[in-house]
Amino acid sequence: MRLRITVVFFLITLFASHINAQSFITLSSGISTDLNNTRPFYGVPITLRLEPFKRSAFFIEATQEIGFNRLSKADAYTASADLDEHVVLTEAVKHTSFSMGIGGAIVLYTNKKNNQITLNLSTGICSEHYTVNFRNYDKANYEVLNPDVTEYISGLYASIAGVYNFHKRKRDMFIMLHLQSPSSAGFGRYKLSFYKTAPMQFTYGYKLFIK
Amino acid sequence: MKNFKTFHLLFISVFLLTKCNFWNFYPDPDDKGLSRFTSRGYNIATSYVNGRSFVNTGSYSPLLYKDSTGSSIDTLRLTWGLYPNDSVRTVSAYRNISFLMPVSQSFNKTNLLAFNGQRFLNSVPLTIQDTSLNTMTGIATLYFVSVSEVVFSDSNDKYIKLSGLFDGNIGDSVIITKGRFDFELSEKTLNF
Repeated sequence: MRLRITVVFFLITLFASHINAQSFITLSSGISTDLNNTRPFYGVPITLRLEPFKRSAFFIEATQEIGFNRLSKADAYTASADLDEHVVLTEAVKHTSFSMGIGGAIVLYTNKKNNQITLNLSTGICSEHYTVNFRNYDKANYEVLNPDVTEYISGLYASIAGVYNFHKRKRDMFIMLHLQSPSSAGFGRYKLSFYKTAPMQFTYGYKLFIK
Repeated sequence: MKNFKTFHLLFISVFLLTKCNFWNFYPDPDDKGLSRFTSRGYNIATSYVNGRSFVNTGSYSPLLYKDSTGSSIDTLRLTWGLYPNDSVRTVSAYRNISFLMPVSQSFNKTNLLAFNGQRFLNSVPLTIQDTSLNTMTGIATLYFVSVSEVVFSDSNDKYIKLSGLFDGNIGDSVIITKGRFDFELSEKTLNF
């Protein structure tokens, strides 16, 4: 299955319709949520995309996602006679990631003003860091039951994005809805309270042409 | 050459067996040498004994059975092995640890499930057997954080999941701290 996806991406990259009159670079940012967890992770993605070739839809993109803390409750217990046997504490999990990949763009629609809707497909490598912290926690005397732990994973991803490119005040801008698969890497056997993220990013950005 | 191959195979076998024993050991980032405190039936028990970390590997499950004393009060015995789990890995001074809870003669599975959430403060007799088979007696706190029954749908087998915390001491000579256990016991192995 992965081989098929790779082949499809490769073909799209090679035969994607020629949409560029010149090469350009884009910078975009927005908000990201997560489709793979019932209590999702949120973050701010910053994406840099380079379409280096004239008359080719091939691009290279890199995204840094800065996550917000996801707060939840956890239970901690003690056998110490001097302390309350059970306390509820706050667990904060922060997800940050960096992904880099290649892809191709397909033009779906162009209007008279030359505004375009394109479909971007890409694949690459993603490294993710899930940082777990417990707040208001007496580590010396209490034990957290089934604790989440900090995890670092690195694997492959595939993504799809719908992009609306438009011009306003002589500037080239775009809005993008970007869906990314969870990383191919696993967490291991220990069960955590969260799954690998599948980010859905809604971003807004500028397109800068390179002369 | 043949001896070398035999030695090689033996080494791999021992290594694999060792790894199997540690299959459900998930290191606690806050307490070096101890497994995380879990309630998933990992069949793991770890604690510090006089500051050294110990683990129950070597026997996958603990022994849980009722000793008949011949009086109206019987003893519920929970026992597991004690093996060093630190970088020193020297031969252990201890063989096993047991908690001996006085229970009524009619103690049964329902009574065991009623331990869920109960903390027995400094009241549970504790014994540690050393490698010379001498038994030392002390007192422990035992906290059954979670006791539940699990039925596997495919085989209809019933299991008891036990997890909790403990600490204790045998005079001033043996101090047990930060103990935690997480067991899943087949009800077929229970004698009550």
